[in-house]
Amino acid sequence: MAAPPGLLIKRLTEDYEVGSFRCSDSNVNGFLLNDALLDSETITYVVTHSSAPFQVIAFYAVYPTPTRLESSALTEELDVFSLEYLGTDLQWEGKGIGSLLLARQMRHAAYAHQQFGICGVISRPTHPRTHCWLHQLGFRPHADGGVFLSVEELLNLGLDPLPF
Amino acid sequence: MATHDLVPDEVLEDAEEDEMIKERKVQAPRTMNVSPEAAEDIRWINATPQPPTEKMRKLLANYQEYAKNNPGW
Repeated sequence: MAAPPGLLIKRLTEDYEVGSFRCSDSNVNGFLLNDALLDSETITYVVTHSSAPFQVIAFYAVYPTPTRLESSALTEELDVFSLEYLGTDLQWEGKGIGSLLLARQMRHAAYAHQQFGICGVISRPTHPRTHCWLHQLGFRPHADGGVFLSVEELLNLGLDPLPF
Repeated sequence: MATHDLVPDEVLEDAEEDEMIKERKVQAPRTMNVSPEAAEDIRWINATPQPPTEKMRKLLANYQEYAKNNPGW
């Protein structure tokens, strides 16, 4: 579905109204309502509509540097780009906004690869529907319940890298 | 006279080391623990890349179309 015109995307600041945001994942809501402004490690982008330019209707967060996987089974260094929170308010669900945000997250991943080198993109969705969605898009499940896309698969998407 | 000329060499070396440690700390990546099974899965996924799915192609095409008509995206 084509997203509605008039959507604006900006970095989250204290000017935005997040208090009424509700999506179907309470973990995602909790991050936006309680942590996003305080968390100095992640960068949060918010979507508003031109009719109410400070009312947040969707958002995503990215961690701008690679995450190193640690395991007793790993001898090599595996750095990945981690997709952090992504959510769309219930009133705006089903309009293609989440897809736009995922595409931007993937462009950030392409930028992270350009800057640091990563071996793939990892996500740990807390909602089963998000897990299923990412799987259908080509991410593959791993044993810890998350999903993974290899760097070769990321590069095959031909994305224009997007700085943070 | 440069400030360095007034400071003993060992103090300067310590300060340089502190700076290097600080720099390493800033650049050190965040870590995520994964089970041995997940690590093996990730190795396997990396070794067996698959072409983009039709659904992913469509998602990106829709995004590009939207970004073309809506500055800032």
